[in-house]
Amino acid sequence: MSNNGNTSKGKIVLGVIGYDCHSVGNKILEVFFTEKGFQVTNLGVMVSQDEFIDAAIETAADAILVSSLYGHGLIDCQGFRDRCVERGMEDIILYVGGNLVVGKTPFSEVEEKFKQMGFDRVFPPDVDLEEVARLLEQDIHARRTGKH
Amino acid sequence: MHEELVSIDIGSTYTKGALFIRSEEGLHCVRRSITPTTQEDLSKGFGKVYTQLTGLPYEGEHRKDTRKAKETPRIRFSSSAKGGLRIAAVGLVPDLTLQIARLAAWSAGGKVVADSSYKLRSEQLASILKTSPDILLFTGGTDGGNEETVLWNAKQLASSPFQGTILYAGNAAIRGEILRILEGKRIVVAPNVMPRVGEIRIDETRQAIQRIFLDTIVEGKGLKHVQEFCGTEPVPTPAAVFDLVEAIGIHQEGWDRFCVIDLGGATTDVYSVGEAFWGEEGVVLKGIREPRVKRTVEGDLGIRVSATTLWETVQPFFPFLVRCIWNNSMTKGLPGLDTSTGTESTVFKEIPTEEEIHQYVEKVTLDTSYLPDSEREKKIDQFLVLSAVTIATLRHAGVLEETYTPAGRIFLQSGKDLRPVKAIIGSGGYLSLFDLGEPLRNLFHQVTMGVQESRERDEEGSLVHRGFSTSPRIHLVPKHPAYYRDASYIFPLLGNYAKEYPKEVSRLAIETLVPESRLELNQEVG
Repeated sequence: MSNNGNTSKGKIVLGVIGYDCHSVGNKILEVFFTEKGFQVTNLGVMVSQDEFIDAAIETAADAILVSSLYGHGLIDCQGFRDRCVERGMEDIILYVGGNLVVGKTPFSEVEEKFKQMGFDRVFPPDVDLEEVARLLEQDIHARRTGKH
Repeated sequence: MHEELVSIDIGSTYTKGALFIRSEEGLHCVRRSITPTTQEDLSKGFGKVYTQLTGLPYEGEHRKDTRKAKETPRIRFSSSAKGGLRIAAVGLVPDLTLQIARLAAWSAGGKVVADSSYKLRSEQLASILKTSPDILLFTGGTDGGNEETVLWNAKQLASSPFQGTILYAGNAAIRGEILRILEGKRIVVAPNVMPRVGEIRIDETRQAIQRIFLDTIVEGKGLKHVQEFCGTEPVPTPAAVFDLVEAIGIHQEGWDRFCVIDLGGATTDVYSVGEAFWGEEGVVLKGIREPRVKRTVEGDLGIRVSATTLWETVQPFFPFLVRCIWNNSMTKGLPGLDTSTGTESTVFKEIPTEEEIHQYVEKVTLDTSYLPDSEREKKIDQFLVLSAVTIATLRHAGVLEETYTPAGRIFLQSGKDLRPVKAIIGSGGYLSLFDLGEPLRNLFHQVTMGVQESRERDEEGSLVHRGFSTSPRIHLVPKHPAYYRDASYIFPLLGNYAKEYPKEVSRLAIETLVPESRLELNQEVG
C-alpha cells in the first residue's frame, strides 16, 4: 500500500472509545472518509485512549476522530487531550461524536464540556458527514500551515 | 531416488551431526555423531563429525571439485554463534513497532540484548552500545507515517560510534533519507515491519537478520573453511529449529497447536505454533495480533550460566513452586520427577531448602559443565528446570484481564493465547531426558488459576511472606498439554533441511518424539 501523506487530504485515526462495541457506524465512517480522500487508520471498537495515541504517533496522524455511542463518552474521554500533550502530540486535531452522554442534556452543553476537555470539534449523532469532512480538511490544512 | 544428507550443528559446547537417507519412503536417520566443539578452530570438530558420519576425509578443497562433490553427500550446517546473535531493537511506540521488532529478532534466532522506544537519547544509546549488539534493528512509523522521530533516531545513530550492522525496517517513505543520513555506517534495509497499524510483516526482516548473521559470524574461527568445504552457508541454530517448527505446523496432521521448549545452560527458548487469538465470545484482543509461529528467548533463564538470574527471578515464589512441583506429584503418588531410575526414590520426599538451592546455584555458575552427583542435587536441578520452563512460558504467553462494561463482563486479551496448545515438546539437554509432563501441567494449572503465593523483600532485603493473592489476570499458558521429548536432540539437525524438504523432515521429527512415561533405556546418542 502506498501511503504518501502529502497527496492525501490528511491522515486520520478512527475508533470507538472505551468499552463500546457499536461497530456499524465505525465501518461507515471508515468507508466515507477513505472515499473523501483521507488516509484512514481504523482501530475499530473498544479502543483505549493510549491505543488511539499509539496509532497516531506511528502514522503521524493529523487528527483523531473518537466515536462514542453508549453514553459513557464523557468518562472515557476525560483527560484525552492531556494525554496527547504528555505523549508529544499536543497539536493533534481531536474530534468526538456520537451519543456522548445519557439523558436529555442539550447538545450545546455537551459540546461545551467536550471543548473544555480539549476537543476541537464535537458532533451530535445526526451530523451531516459531508460537513465533518469539509471541516476536517479545513482544520488539517490549517494545522499543516501552522494556523491551527 | 536415494540421497545421502549430512547435517551438522556447531553448538557452543558440542558439535553434533546426523547422516540421513532420503528415499521414496521418506527420510531416515542412519548415523549420529557428537564431539566437543573446538572453539579455537571450529572446522576441526566439524571435520571430525563429518568423517565419522560419512567415512570420508574432511579436506578443504575436496568439494570444490564439482565432479567429486556430486559423489559425496550434501551438507547443511548450523551454528549457535556464541549463544545467538545479539540484537538491539529500536522502535517508536513500545506496544507497536518496538514489540514487532522484538518478535522479528527472536524469530530470526536472535537475542534481544537492549531496546529503546520513542526518541533515542544519548543515555539510551549509551546503554545500547554497552551491550555490544551485532545488529541494531531500527524500526518506527508506518509507511508514510512518523518521520520526525525516526529521522531524529537516524541522526543519533549516524553520530554514534556504533560499529555493527544497522538493519532499517521502519517507515519506507523515508528510506532514502535514512540511507543518506547513515552513509558510512554498515546499513541494510528491509520492508517496514509494520506497514500499517497492527499489520505485521517480519519475514523479510528475519531473512535480512540471517544474512547479516552469515556475514558477521562466518568470519574467523574456521567457519569460512567449513563454508567453502560444504558449498553452503550456515544458518543460526535457533532459526533452523524455527523452520522445523513451522514445517511441523504446516505438514503434520494434528500438529497445528504446539510448543517447543529448548532449555539450555544460558537461555530458554520457547517456540509456539497456533493462532494467537481464537475470537472467543466475550474476549477482545488488545494490541497487535501476534504471529502464528512465534519464538521468544529468555537470556536470564538458564540452569548453568544464567542460574543466578533464574534463582533471583523465582526465589520470591519458592514456597509456591515447591508446592506445585513436589506436593502435587507426591499426593498423586507419582514417581514423577525421578525418571532417572524409574522408581520412586525415598530421598524424593525430602524437599530441598532455599539455602541448598542457593549454594547449588553458586556452584553451577562457577562450573557450568557441572552435573549433579546426588539424588538431592538432581532434585535441585529439576527445580531449576521446571522454574525456568514455567517462567519462560509465562513470558511467551499472553494474559486475559477481566473487565466489567455496560454490556456485562468481558475479557481483554493481550499477547498470544496458548491455552489450546495440545502438546509441548521438550528439546535440549535436560528436557530431552526427563518426562516433565505431570509437574508442568500442575504448574501451569496453578498459574492459570491466577493463584500466586509470593514474597517481597523488606527494608533489610530479606524475603517476607506476602500471602496468597488471586490475580485478576489469567495467564494464557497451555491447559492440557501432552508432553513429548526430542529425546535424541535431533531437532536442530532436522531443521537444517526444513526449508528444502519440509514434509519429510517434519515427519521424521514427529516420528522420533518420545511420548510421556515411556522410558528410553538405550538412548541413541554419540
